[in-house]
Amino acid sequence: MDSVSNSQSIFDENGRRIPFPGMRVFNEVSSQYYKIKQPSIDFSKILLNSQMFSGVDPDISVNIFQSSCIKLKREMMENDVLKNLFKGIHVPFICPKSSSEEDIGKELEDISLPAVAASFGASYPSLHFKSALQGEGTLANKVNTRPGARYEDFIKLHKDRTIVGWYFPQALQEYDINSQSAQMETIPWYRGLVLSGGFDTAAVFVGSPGLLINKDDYPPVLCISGLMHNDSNLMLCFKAYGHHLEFWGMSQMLTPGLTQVSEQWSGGLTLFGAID
Amino acid sequence: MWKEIKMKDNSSQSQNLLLTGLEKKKRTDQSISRPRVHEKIQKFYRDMSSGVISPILRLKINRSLCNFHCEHCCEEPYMGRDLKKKTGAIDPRAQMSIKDYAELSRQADEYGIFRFVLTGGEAILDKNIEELILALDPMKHLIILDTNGWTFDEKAARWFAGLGGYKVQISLDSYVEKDHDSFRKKPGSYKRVMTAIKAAKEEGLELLLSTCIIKDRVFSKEFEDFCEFCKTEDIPLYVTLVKPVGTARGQDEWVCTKEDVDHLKILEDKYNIFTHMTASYGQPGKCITVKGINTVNHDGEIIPCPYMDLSIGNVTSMPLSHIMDRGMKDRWLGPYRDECIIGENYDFIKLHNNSVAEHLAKSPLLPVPYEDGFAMFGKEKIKSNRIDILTLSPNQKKRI
Repeated sequence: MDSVSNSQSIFDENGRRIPFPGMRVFNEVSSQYYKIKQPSIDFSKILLNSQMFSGVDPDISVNIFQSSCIKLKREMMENDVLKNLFKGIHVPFICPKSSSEEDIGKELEDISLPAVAASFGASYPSLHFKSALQGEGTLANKVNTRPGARYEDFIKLHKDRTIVGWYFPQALQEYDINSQSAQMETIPWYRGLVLSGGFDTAAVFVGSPGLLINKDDYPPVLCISGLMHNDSNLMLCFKAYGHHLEFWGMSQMLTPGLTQVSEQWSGGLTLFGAID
Repeated sequence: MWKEIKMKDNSSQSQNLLLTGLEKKKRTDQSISRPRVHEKIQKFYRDMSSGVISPILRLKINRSLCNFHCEHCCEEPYMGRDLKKKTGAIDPRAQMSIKDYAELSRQADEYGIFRFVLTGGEAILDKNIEELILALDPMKHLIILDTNGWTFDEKAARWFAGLGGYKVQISLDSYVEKDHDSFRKKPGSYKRVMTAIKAAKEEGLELLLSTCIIKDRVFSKEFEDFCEFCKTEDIPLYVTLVKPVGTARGQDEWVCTKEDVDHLKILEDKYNIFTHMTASYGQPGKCITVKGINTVNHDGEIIPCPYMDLSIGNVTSMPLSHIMDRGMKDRWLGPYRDECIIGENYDFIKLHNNSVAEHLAKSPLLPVPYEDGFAMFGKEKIKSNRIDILTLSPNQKKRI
């Protein structure tokens, strides 16, 4: 990046990556038709949910969780190119160290998604969480990190440490799936900033299960494009169905041979680090 | 095919994603009774993740002739009686002939479509309906009949089943008899619906009830009682949202809010009710314009949703596959979105209604042709991948 770009934000006033030539986006300036309400940030509630439902180490205190998140935020706020990310929706999370040597898809199926189901079910007993995959596939042995998404950095740390961080669900709203990862090429390298994937996003929903519940507006479909399924027609995502929460492996094809650009789909960015 | 992801701690509600025993049985039956339909369904399941679609084609026949004058009817402006009142003459455009419908059936079959809905007005009033059903070919397509139930008695049910008809969709707009009759402006119509239900069941026809909701109806005791009735009778209830079009144009207070729609989605877990946006055929719930349903007007104009008045092309002058492709590539109609754009998205409703109003100032004939409607506001095209970032040089990337 040259000096000009180093001093100019590449995110707009809503924390959305400003599109540039080559990106397939629904609108240059997002209509913001699909909305998430900024949740009030309750570190203790998020930690409690994460300890109850996803096995986060019970010895981790709220102070440690909160101070680790604040530190990540403070450091990013000093970066003029990236700091606008915090003008958009931002949600802290804590993700337990992987207890599994299994592959990514199997860990999602067996550990991460059931944790989301348990947390969502406990908070909203009259609603449902469900997961479905279009096509013949499964997740086990069929999910990998997406080239260019930098998500392998998250996976690497996930295997060794408890991770804390911030999720920016609307940073890439209205970008198509390929553009969500392609734009990573022009984000200056920043430690712990990756295209959101499955484990961080699942951790967000364990901690904040009501994130997509919005009485007034339709929320975006949250793509987890840091990961990709072996079936390249599919994209993985969390989405609302009314007030229900769903995980889908759904088709990203508009017509045979042509992928779609949806106003409702949103790629996320994740800022993370090991807990202090 | 599609499947629920196996999870250790999944909720019981997710089981509705799996095929029920009944559904599996229906498909097995289909493979025997209508092998071509079965073959198309299997192919659709296999290919849908690659972007293949197989929408319902809803045929508005017989100039939408109807024996009812319902309060919320979106079809009134298409009816001969309405045009005659306004202009003194019936629709002067060439109407789809039996030969045209046979050609449509051929193209639909080739495209992988397997469902036709016959509607109007009241489709059963069409004197040529038998010839039409045979032209569409009930062995190649599932033929579904919309009816208000007024004349759908035991004899009609036997006739329809005998022709190879598959399903009857009977509309009932209130579970309270006097309210339904008053809404329909037809005393006795509630009792006729009950007769029609019995007749359809006795002939072994597939059956569903449809009902139109206005704002807040989903929260009423009447609606809950209606759902209970359908549960007891084991009849799926198809819920449509009133749209601010047709006789309801300008009735914005009737338009459902997200709160109504969200409540419906909660009721879906309790009752066998669904909307056009309910997850089905292994796909997530979403707006189904073009990809899930299209209406074919009497003159061959294809409308990408039952409640819109804008065409995406005329099937008598353009191949069906081209029209579907054009529709899918429209930025409002093709890409994924959760909400019903004509029922909930005020930006689209405004665009739609303005376009219709402009057209009606020039002509009383709906729908608005493609060139005057979607083609105009479709001009703001989605940015396509004109430059692939992966092909940019390092210097170009720097400038970005």
